Amino acid sequence: MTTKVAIAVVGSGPGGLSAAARAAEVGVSHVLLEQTAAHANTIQKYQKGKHVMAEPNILPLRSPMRFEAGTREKILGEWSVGLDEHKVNIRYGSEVVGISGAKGDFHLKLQDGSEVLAENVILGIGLQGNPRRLGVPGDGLPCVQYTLDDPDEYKGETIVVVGAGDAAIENAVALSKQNTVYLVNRSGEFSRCKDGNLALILKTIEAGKVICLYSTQCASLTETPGGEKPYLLALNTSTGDLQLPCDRIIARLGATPPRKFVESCGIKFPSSDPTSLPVLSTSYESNVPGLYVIGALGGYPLIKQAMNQGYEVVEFIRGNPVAPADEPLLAAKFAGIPGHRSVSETLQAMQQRIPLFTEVNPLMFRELLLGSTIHVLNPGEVVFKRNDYTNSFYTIFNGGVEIQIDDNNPAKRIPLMPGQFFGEMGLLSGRRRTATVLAGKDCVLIETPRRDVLKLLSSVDAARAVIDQTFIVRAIQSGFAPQAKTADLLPIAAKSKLNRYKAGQVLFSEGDEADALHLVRSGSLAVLRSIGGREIVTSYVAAGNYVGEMGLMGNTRRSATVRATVATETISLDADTFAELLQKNPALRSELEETVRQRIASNTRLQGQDNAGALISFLLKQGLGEATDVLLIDETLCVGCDNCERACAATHGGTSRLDRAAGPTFANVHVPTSCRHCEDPHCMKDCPPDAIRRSPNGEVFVGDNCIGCGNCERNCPYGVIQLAGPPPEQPSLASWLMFGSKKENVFGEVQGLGRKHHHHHHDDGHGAPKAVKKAVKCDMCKGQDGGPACVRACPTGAALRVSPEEFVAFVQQEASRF
Amino acid sequence: MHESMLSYAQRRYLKVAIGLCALSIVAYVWHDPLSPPNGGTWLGYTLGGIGAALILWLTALGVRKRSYSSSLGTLRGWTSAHIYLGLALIVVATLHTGFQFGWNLHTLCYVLMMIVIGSGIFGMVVYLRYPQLMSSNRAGAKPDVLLEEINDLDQRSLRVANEMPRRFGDVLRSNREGTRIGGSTRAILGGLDLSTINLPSAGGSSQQVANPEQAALLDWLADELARSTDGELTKRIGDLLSVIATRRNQLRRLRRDAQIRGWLEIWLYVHVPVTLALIGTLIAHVVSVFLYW
Amino acid sequence: MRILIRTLETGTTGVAVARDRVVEADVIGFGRATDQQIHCNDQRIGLQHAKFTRSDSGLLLSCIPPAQAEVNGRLCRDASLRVGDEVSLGPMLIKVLEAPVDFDAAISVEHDARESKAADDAPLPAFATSLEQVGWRKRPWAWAGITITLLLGLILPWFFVGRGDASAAWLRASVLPSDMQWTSGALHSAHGNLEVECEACHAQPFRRVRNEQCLDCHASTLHQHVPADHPAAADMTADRCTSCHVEHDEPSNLVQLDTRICTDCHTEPQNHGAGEKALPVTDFIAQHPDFQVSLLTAPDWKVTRARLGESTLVEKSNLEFTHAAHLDPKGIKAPQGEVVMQCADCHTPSESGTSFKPINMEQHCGSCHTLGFDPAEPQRKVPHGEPKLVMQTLVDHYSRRFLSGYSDSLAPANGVTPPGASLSAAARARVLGNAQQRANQVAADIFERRVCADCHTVTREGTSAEPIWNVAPVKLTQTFMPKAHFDHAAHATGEATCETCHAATDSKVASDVLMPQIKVCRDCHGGETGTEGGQVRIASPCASCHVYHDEQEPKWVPVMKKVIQQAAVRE
Repeated sequence: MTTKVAIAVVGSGPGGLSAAARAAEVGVSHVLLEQTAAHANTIQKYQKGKHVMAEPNILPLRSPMRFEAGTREKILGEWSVGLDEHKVNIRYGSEVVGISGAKGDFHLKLQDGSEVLAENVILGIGLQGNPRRLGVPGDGLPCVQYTLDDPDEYKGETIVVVGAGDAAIENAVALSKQNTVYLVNRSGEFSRCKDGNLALILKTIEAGKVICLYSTQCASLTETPGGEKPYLLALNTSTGDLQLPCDRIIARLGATPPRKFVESCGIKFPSSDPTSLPVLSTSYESNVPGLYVIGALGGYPLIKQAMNQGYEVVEFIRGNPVAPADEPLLAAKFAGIPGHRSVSETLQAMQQRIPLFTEVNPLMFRELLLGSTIHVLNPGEVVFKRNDYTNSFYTIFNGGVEIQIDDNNPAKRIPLMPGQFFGEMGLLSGRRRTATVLAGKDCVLIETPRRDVLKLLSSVDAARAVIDQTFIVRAIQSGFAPQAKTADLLPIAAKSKLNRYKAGQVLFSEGDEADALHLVRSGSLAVLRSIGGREIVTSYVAAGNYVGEMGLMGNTRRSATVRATVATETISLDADTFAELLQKNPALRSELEETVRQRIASNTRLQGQDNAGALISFLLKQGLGEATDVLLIDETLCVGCDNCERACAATHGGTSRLDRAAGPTFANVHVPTSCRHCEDPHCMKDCPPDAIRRSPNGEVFVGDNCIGCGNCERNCPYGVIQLAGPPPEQPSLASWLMFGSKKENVFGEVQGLGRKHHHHHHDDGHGAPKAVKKAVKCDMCKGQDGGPACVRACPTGAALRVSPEEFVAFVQQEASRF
Repeated sequence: MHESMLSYAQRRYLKVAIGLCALSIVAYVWHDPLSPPNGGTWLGYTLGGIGAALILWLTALGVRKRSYSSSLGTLRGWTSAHIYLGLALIVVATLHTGFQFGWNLHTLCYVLMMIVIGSGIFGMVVYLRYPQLMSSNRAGAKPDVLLEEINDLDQRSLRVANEMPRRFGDVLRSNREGTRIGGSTRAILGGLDLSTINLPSAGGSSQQVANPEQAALLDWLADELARSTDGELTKRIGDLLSVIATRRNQLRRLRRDAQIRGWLEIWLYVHVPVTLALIGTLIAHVVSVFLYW
Repeated sequence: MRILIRTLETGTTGVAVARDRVVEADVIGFGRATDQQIHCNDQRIGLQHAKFTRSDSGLLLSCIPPAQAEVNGRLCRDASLRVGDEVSLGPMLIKVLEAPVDFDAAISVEHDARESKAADDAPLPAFATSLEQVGWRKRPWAWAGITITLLLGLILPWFFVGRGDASAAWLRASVLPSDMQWTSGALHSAHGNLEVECEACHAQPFRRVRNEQCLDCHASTLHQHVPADHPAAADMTADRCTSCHVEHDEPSNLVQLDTRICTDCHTEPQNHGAGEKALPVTDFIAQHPDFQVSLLTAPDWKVTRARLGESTLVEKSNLEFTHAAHLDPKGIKAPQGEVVMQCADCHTPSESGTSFKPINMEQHCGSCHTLGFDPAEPQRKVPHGEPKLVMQTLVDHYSRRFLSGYSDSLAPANGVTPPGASLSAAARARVLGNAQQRANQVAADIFERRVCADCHTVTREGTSAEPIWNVAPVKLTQTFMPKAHFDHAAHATGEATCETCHAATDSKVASDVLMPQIKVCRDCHGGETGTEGGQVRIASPCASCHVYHDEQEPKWVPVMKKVIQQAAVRE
């Protein structure tokens, strides 16, 4: 076919649909090319009945297609209606394999060899890419599928899941409920999956629910009519070949990311970072004129954004520029800024003034600001206080701020100029604020949420470098050299190295030559000494602090071994570069000596109590290394009344978030199963609706928008998250006091051997979650006055919460008691 | 950083209690009514009022303990106050009586109160002493884990026994069936071992004998060991002996655990019901006193 | 060493799947801890359960105590392993395999089938290890406690309160819990009879016992509580009795000896409605005014109250008398000769012994002060009475004697009238005239000079022919201190004589008041405690002299009725 359309839309995702629909609406000749047999393939692949959210709610929808939050089915239904309504010219099953030509005359080559001619091309193909095929004889057979719609569809079948990624694991586990499931893993272990899923699958395999065939490849697939099972899958395993009769094969071998294809079209990416995004103009036009990119591929994962862009891009092509949908929102944000005229001008001004943002492409910057808040502050107003738990990131658009490092000496302040930024410490380490920041004269700040900044950093290398350096300089200043001028420190920062350590990895060992200082950027460290042949933990270094400062004094040897307790990032300054600085100002030297002296003193104090070391290392094993607030129980005081659990249950709708009896004990210190509120919470790692948040006071909590996917439960290494249904009916206090309760699990559990504890139903968390079940975890009773109920409800004072700040003090107190 | 219920807030409530007692005593000594001191003088009424109020408040701990969302002080604070003011009640109430006792409802009320306080003191003592013991006895292993372990030992010993003459298997099985932990109040609180075992007796039949601390079994095995001539068998019996010894130790720990928990709980079964009886009597006392004014 | 670890997974369908790992380490750890090379997540396994090290013969197994392993069905802690050996650790079965080339050793790890099977058919025995499991419960007992106590201690007895009928009496007599259990102490023996009649006093529930109930018995016997005009009368509420007379209280003392009963008001009497004259009293020693005496005073014989010690008091009794003369130790002239008199000769104790009988002329004076007038007939006496009677006696006497021919210096010499001779009327008149004359002479003599005048003041009126004498009446004060209660008998101890308190021997006039002053009492009597001012004396609270309830005729009832009405109004 040779007729040339004005617009060819590739990919019928939300963006594509919207664009095509708009084109159809305004009667522009167009074609919508969809490689699969149905529109919005990605959403088709969602779990059945999954609730799709319409974030960001503030953003108005701008599309001929209808869209509002609802179930997957509802939304897909509405869209197919929309397709018919606007008579969208959609071509299913037509995969674009290449795009050539230039504006006005693009050639889109399809899988089947045919070509489509178009003046403009809109790429809305998302990031999903195309699923890898099984690639063995017989993989065309109908029993092979690359997606799993509803695991509950299949019962009593023998199903082979191929692959070792998250998708494969989740499908296998979900299917294992009602089917015999084999999981074919090419390698000897699960390396490509999330920790959570790893735990999940290993558990399931151990339970014998899924049979895993390690280091095994598929050889061939054949039909066996009349056989016990319709198909026969030949495998060669490490222990020889295996003929596996089966009903169905689900291949989840991942997908080829679309980047290669996109680049083949001539579109450039700013960095090699796989997460980086193509450079786009404000009209979503890529560096190739006439070739537009919208949706996830352009860095807009949210459905509504994509649909708006689809609409907008068509308008751009038609030559009537529309202000982006977020224009009024930004306008509203900027309204307060003195001298604000128009959104675009202010945006430009910001990018010019703030070096960190100059590199960022305008669209992404808009995005960034959409998430950010603008603060216009009076002089002296507090931006945040030391030990606040906010982890957002501030950039100074106008005026200045003063950083107050030392509360005892408020005069000691570091001023910051427009264009500079602060708050990166919390950003990187997820720790409490290390200093108080006060607004200066006519100060205008941009506050950006952590996630948005991290997204920015991942795609703009320049920004990352700037932030790292600043972090170092500030760390040195707040650490032990407030006098040192930023100018002096910058060269050192430039020479510094960023080191990443795995949990348990050694930074340096006792007796090594001390040649560097380590600033802990994230994670935490344990300091060990070998005393009487045994290695004993003598101290614990939380993020934001530094270790090995002796190293900077030059030509000494390490007095202790330092090991990462969790995955840790440090920045090391080597002695030579630092020596220069020390020569420059001797005052600094003396200060440094002072801090060294103090450090040694406190270390020796701890060594005095050898068991203190033992206790620390025990607690570190229990994850206190990354904890910000953990519940401990002093067994010398605990009478086992379980009031803490009941208090937790009673204050949290009947489900206790902690299990007192469970968990290890050492030297009378018991670590119950309850949330540690990690500084970099594992549970937050992949939460689809971003329901797990950290409140300003540091509590990590699960929001109402939890969809009960169970990722957090799997990701938590301490097993403190559970998926719980609606709270069980509880009797009123009065009626309980008088008549007791039938529900032994809530009140008055009959203690005794042979009885299982009441909430160990971790099993029903994974697979297809029941809509009613939601993740529950300790939220430190945020929003309840008086602090955590468990501690308040402890009659004997056995329960207590410890934060890293009090950690060492606590250990000393405990150690002095045994 | 953390402190027991006694040392809560630098023993604030201890001070309050002492103050209260001192005040009452001074008032009592200073007060010199026309008739002998009793509950009917103005001081009597005052002390009585304070006492009754205290009793009701002390009882309220039971409610506060379970109104979990209450932010009315910490429960530890309440417990601390409960202990000290409860002790102060001894002085207040005794002075209220004016040391007039008799076979009447009023004295009954006093006696019940003393029983409650007494049991409370006992409870306080065990709360302070036993958790330590429990924790050291458990050594980090929860009871059901210990039970698992015992179960495992049994499986192993049975497997060893499978390689041995039949009587060994039978004895071990009966040992397993006859094992008892707790079972009765006496056994729990006394940490008694009521286990029994069937040992083969001379006539080929077997007879049931008490098997405290696995002693009977160990003796039996020792005899077998002494009698056995077959080297292989001897080795196996040796194995069994060591297993049973471990088993005995674990059982001992379990019993100890149950015993400690028993003592930690038992006093409440006096404290709480008698408190309610006390409240009933208290009401009767107050009403009757004014009924026959 | 370089060791090959093969994990064998066996699924539901029994297909065993091997998974090989190559580990290079000197020690291969086995345990629950995640850092162990062979990780086994089973509660029974210690964090570090056992470890495999290399030995020249092959592998060396050593368990960390108390862990034990089962090697080829033999229990042990350490063992050197050969190819083919089977080590069972907890739920895992570890087999030693033939080490492949360039491997130091090889082992396979799998779930111990026997173990899992055995665990299945041997479920955990359930032991009753908690008190709750052996049947201890709190709630039922708590319920029982509160219900029983309320039922038996309050409700059941209450049901019988107020009905003074047989049922209540029966209940109180029975062993069943009755309102008897509410008695906080025994009743005073005096009230013993009321022990089981609660209603007698507790007439109405929730109302304090009132005076009516006391009056029911005491109205007739009780003395006046306080005189109607006593200021305290106003204070007395309807339950005044019980505020002093506390019952059911031990040790039971119905009578209040406490000084405060009086001093509460009398310390500042004016504040309690007393008049100006009332003086403050706190204690017999500390503060007590001089004694007041009641004096019966001529001529109108009103009782006047006067305070001792202020000035020398005068008792106007119209009596001519001196204690000094009568008590003269040398003796005093009497018809029967010299006599030494004692106080007791005249002051004879009353039956109670507390006070004295009134002084009586005939009894106490007559023996010496005989009323004879005619030396010729000394036994003839004039009566101790009205002057007319005295006159009459004299005239009769002398008329009789003159008619019977008696004559003396006064009789005219007209010859002796022979006995039995009848006189003419004229002669008879003359004789009687003489007798009259004679009587007048004698009367004047005894009234004005000898007999009456000894003790009485006599005045003369009328003509010389018919004189009339008036004798001033004499009245003696019987009770000097009516407000105090003094027992002479109680004081007649040791060497104490009347003189100790009453200075009679020096009293030269009858008008002297011989009542002792307070200081005299204070020699022996202390205050409430008796130990005031460093010296020990007899403890003397108010009640030892003064009585709350007055000793006079019972005005009680009307007063209290009034008071009760007041109280009623007040309520």
